Amino acid sequence: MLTEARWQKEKELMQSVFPEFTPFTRVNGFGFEGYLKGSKSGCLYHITLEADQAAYPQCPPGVLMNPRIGNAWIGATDRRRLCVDREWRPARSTFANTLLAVIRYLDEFDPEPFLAS
Amino acid sequence: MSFEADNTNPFCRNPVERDLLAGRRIAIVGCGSFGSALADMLVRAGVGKLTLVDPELLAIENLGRHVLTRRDVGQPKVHALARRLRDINPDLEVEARWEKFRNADGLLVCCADSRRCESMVNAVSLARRVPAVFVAAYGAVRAGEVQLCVPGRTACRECFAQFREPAGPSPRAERYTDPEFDETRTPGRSGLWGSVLAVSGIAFHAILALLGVRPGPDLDRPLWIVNLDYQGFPPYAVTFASVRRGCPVCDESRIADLQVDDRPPGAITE
Repeated sequence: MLTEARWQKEKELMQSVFPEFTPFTRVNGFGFEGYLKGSKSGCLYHITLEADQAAYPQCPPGVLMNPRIGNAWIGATDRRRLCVDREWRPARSTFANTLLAVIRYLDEFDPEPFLAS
Repeated sequence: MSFEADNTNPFCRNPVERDLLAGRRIAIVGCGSFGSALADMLVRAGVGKLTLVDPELLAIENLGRHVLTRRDVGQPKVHALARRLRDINPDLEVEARWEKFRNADGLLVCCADSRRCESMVNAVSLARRVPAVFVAAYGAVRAGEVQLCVPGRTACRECFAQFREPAGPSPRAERYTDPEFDETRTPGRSGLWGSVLAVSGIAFHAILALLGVRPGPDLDRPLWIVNLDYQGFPPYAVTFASVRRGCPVCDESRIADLQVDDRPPGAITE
């Protein structure tokens, strides 16, 4: 169950490493959103990290990406979440290191730019 | 101590415990090997109110180490277990919840094979300030682990769990198809029913101690390692260990410790 102190710390950590990402809160949901640039394609990916206030930090935030790359996506078509193995420790893990995992995924699957002949 | 035989009273051999336990409510989260064994022991001891929580059906593969039998295969574990417990004590108030754990009243006993579920039980324990007992096994039940968590007095489950090794990827096919799949579940492991009962028997006494039915446990050493024949601990013995108290989940002053790098100290790095 999310506490105000935890949310403040999550925002502080994100601000320190990913200041371009903005926090948001919705009914039952909260998180961060922003853009990452593919290191190979140069494409901008809209990233949303979203968690349930009643289940955070017990459950990790879900990761949504637009456009999606790679095949590790699961869920309803309009709400497909990134599905990769990553250890989640409620007493250690944060939104910021979730975004680091997303960056590793992008580094692997961001396609080379299309070269026209 | 002698007792008077009474053909109408199933608790005539443990009337003192029955009196102390009849009004107590216990929630058992996870009704597999450990959960079913503990539910059986607690009802026979006299616990009068039980909540059972488990989202699964009983499968053939469970029968080697479960109190339920072949006739219950395909049934929700909680429903079949509730029936069995009412056969032991028809006056038992038992609530069977065929679902994932969200909340429950009473002393929490977590026997789930999911770290996420453990985290949820821990969160409810902290929020409601009710004690919780976590029961788990190492490997093929060569050893067991019983952790007593008393909010404000002991370490919480996360204080301990943050240093554990990852559970490892699940071999279950649902992880690729079920959006709600819990990837923190421990992959199914081998192990003997007698070993489960040995660990459960110690956990049962930990619960009695927390409920005041037996002398109080040493809350400075709330982690009980029940070793059967696992290397590294004395064989067939219980070792009582301390757990450093305070983590960002149970102590707001420790939230400042959160880092961008979440690897625990000493974790193996690439």
